[in-house]
Amino acid sequence: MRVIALTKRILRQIVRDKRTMGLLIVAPIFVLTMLHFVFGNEEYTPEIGFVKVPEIIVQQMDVGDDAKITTYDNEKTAKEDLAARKIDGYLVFEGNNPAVVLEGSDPSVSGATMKWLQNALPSVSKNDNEQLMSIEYLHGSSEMGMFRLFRAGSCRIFRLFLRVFNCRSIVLTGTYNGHVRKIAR
Amino acid sequence: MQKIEECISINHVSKSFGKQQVLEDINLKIFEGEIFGLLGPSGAGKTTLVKQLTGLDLPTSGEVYLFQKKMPTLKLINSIGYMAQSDALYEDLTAKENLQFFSELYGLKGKDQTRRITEVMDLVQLSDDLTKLVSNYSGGMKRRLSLAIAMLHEPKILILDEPTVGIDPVLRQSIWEAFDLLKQSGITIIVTTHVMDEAEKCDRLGMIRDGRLIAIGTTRELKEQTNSKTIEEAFLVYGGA
Ligand SMILES: Nc1ncnc2c1ncn2[C@@H]1O[C@H](COP(=O)(O)OP(=O)(O)O)[C@@H](O)[C@H]1O
Ligand SMILES: [Mg+2]
Repeated sequence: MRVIALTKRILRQIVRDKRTMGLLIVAPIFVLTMLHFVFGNEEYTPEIGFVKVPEIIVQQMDVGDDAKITTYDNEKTAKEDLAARKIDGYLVFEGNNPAVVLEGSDPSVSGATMKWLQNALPSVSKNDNEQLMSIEYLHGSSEMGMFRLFRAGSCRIFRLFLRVFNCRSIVLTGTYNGHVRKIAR
Repeated sequence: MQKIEECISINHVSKSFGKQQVLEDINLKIFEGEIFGLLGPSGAGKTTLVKQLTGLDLPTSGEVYLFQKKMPTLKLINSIGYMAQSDALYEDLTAKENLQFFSELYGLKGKDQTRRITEVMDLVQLSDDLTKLVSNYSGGMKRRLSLAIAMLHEPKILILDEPTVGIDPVLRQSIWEAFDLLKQSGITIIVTTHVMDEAEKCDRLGMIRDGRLIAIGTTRELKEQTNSKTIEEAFLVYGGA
């Protein structure tokens, strides 16, 4: 009886009190929106170059719409395009071993590129867990260098790292209207 | 008058806060259906004495009996209506919501609740301001709302601590008329005040100064005993003696 009366009164007071309402509803929405900007980079469509990727592999690959593919005849032009940021990274085959070169200045872009490549390259990520895919960065920082040798299929830590790193770049550049990707470079 | 029933009895009540003795050996009997006034200057100990009656506070020594039951007791909570000196209202709620909250605490529901809310708000002439937020009330309106809340559950004893502070003379008059009505229905009213002309309207009066009860009696008795025309004069005589 009294508990009900008390609960009713407190609820009424909370509804009236704009500050509490703000903290209860607006603040979480605000925080979640911010978190979305920080972590929600799933929709990014990476632009990937293919250099000397064997025809059989390309056929096996599940290319889809999630990435924009440009084919190059030699690594030199691919590297130039990468430097000019026309592509986010490229996949190159030296013999049987795939190697990835990423532009590397924006971890979220690198992450999206890597994610796509892992999904698209079944031979690398699924069949042959022991196979190592080498990753290079054009503008890679020393911290990222630790992950040069990337064991396919165990990318969790790498992604976590990317996220933490991405956070930091937002902190640094957050005042520029949220165009984090551009400014981070 | 018919047979007079003793309603409140205060026996040798003293109260100290630390070293300061606020009440000193108070002995007092209050009868059913009377308006009893406690008159005294600010800081005399009126609020403290009245709190011992409600059971909100315990005397350092001595006893308080309500209807022959020793205070404090939960059984008598519904028999007492207490209006504190400072308003205890929820400012971010409307007057109606405040009244609903307090009536639910007293177990008033449904039609009874609506009826009582209308009755008490009519009595304090706040019916038109029922849906206003209490934070938009003036000081006098808040006092009246507190009074309405104290009367909500039709208590047999109404204890009012300076009920008419900040209320204009016209309204004060009508509130005192309401007190007379309540008294006729058998309700005992205890009022503290430091306004002398208000004291004249009480049936009996207790004069307090520095925690001591310096005089008790009807207003007429008090004036006659001191050969004074007004209560104010009488108070000065008792206080100076
Ligand atoms: N809780 C308390 N702690 C310490 N002193 C108190 C307390 N309550 C009241 N007093 C003191 O008791 C005296 C009487 O207070 P009060 O009963 O409120 O006077 P009145 O209501 O007659 O103006 C004052 O000096 C006051 O400072
Ligand atoms: Mg007081």
